[in-house]
Amino acid sequence: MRSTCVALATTLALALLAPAAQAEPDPPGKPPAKAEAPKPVPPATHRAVVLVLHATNSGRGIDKRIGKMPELEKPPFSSFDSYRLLMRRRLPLSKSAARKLRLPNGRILQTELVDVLPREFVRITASINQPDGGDFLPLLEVKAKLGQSFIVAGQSHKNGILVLVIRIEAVGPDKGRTGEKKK
Amino acid sequence: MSRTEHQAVMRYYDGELSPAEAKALDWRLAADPELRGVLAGLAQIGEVVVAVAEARAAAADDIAETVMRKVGAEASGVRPRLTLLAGGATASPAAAPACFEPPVRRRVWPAAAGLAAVFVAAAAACVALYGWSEREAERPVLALSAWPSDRVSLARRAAAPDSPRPERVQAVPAIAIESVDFGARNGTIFMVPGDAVDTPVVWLVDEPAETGDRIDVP
Repeated sequence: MRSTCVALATTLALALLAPAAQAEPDPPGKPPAKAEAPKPVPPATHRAVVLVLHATNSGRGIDKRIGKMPELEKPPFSSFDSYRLLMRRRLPLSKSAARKLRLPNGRILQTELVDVLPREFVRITASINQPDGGDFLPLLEVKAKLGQSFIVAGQSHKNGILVLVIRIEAVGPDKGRTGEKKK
Repeated sequence: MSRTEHQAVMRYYDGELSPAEAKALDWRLAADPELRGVLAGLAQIGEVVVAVAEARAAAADDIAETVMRKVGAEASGVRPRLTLLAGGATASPAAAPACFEPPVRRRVWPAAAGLAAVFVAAAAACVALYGWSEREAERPVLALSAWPSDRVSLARRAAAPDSPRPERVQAVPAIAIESVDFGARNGTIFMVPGDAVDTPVVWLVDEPAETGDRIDVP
């Protein structure tokens, strides 16, 4: 009987104290006891096709996997005689959801779809950060028509430089692999 | 003198009469000193107005007053024809038509015309100033923008002096670097001719890699 009374009193006390404990704010600097669930990433409407090229003067010519890029034959890119495709990545993009890509030199390229504009234009931001979190290219904002490329170049890498070719494409049921509408 | 006759003289002075009416009034002017006096009075009034306009033009420095001066000069060129009337009082009717040629249409109110020219010039200056300030306020996007090849060729044709004027180019580039923050580093932006459009390039100045030499912006 006595043990039953003690158990009831303990249960009652816990029931009264629990709401008060929940109402108390977390002390500053202390992480919440339970981590927030990650926000669901909206489905990607676009994607960034990133080609990472390594430009050197090693006499090997232009990698055939790069495809047709007349920009590489014009200054200042023509000052390098060799271009090798290091990686080709497709980063799915959705509004307000940044995507990251680790580059061969350890830095991190981050792209984000800011806005989808009329007439197949998009506004994106890109940045390149150091592995330790420091900024390398803090911010680059581009307004581009789908399928048009822009280049970020100049990062030193193994006796040459990195050339990032970034192109935005649309993703959808009526879009092909390259983002162009099927005819 | 009736009011109708007075109006006819005024219309004659303004050059608004038909050739037949003007010729008929020529004969009447030659025969009627009172009509000639009215016409001379109109000429004097015109000279006074022109003199005022010229005086204003002489004191002006800006472009609007320069226009006014030009209007006054045009008006002053008509005056010699009007002074012929002063000697026509004793002329015979047969000789009178030679003295009173139908005048060319002239301005009656040059000061009003000058004032209108001032307003037009001021409005044009305001429009030009507004357009200049609008261009200054635009972000420097155009310098970093790429146009499709057909637009580029249109722009190049427009630059050639002997080429036909192209149609209005749509002010939407295919790609544009809207803003860039190089942080503590140096960098530059330029365009490289591509396959279909010029490709914008963001070139960063990087520190030398461990296994490579420093690569600077060319």
